[in-house]
Amino acid sequence: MNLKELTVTLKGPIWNIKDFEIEGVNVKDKMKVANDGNSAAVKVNDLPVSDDNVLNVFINLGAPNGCRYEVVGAGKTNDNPSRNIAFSESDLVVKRLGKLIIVIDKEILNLLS
Amino acid sequence: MKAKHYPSRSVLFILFMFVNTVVNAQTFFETAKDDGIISFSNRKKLSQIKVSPSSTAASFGYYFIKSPSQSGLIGNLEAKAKPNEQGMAVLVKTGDLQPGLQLNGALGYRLYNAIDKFFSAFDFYIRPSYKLDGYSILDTLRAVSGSEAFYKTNKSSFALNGLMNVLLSPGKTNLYIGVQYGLNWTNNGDDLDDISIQTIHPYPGSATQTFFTDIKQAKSGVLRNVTSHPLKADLIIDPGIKLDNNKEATVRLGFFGYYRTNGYEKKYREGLGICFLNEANPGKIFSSIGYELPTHGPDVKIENRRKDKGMVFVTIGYAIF
Repeated sequence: MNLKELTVTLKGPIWNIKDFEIEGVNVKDKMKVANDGNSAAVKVNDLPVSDDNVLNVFINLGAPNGCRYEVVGAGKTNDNPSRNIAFSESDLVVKRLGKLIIVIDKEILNLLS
Repeated sequence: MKAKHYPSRSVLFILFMFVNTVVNAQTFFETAKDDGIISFSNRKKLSQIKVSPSSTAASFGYYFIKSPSQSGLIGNLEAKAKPNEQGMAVLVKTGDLQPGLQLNGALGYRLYNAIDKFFSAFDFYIRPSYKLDGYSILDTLRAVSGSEAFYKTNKSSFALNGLMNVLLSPGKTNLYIGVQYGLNWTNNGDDLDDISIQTIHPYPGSATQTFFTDIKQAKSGVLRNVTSHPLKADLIIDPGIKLDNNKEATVRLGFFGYYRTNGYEKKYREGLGICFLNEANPGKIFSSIGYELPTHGPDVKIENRRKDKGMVFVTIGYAIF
């Protein structure tokens, strides 16, 4: 399965993003940080999803302890453009050492709406 | 001429921040005399107006960073104006003007992840500044040479400082550290004693009655140029204390302290207090309550040691858009 387009947005105070990967592809250079420093978004097109149909999103960031984040994803598949992909994770908090690794593994079929 | 010393006073700072939401990350720390040096921003561009009824009447700051998520260029420009050394409250009360203007620039570099084990951010700045102060001076030594003891004058000051802001997140805590040291070509006006002057005149046509003029605010002593190496150090500790365990809680508690010495006298200022931080973004201070201890050191006059009870101050932050 291919994703025609997928936008992953990290909401919260953006201090330092060390890695931002979708399906093992480093997309950090494509990331756009909002002027207010409160969100970072990546949009990818025609993204091939691995054979297991599990969508992998990996974000490694550094920020002061206590910073709270939300990850929101939205996109479309090539197979059926009329169906949308949507997911979100909230209350992701930096708890120790100013480090937060966010890993989202989602079965794509479960994300279709 | 009768001179009376000014009592210790409470101070209120009000911060107006030009921000879109309350979770934007900026830490602007202030002391009792409005000379805090910690300022962390992760906005690409930020403008701020600050009003202080104490030492500074109004200031405008513009802060920028090339990239909020990577190491890179960082800087700011600040302009401060004050109508009076004691701020708006005294201006309203007495109408006295002792105007002042200050321009600061800072250009530097933010370095992330200098320490492997935990998150860190180091901001290094070179900070030139210019200050123009209007002073009303009572210098009784001038009377010896036949000059008026009370006079008004303007003085310019220049400074070139190195400034370092550090953010460390070891364990569950966050530490914000600011250190500034450099060379100042300035005067001793800020370190002269604040006094109120009221002149007694004989009532026209009466040998026994007198009347008093309006009270004037002034500095007492000899105004002189000095070259100094002032040191400023600020520390904010955020141990991660939530004021409410509710998930929706928005505030956490921090502690701060600061140290100042003017670099040409053995006088030291220290302050302590608590501050309230944004729960979802501890990089932002909402407000703080502090107490500045009496200025101490061998060069503090004995009469000042007796009357100086320190200073209570409050900082309140508002997001207006």
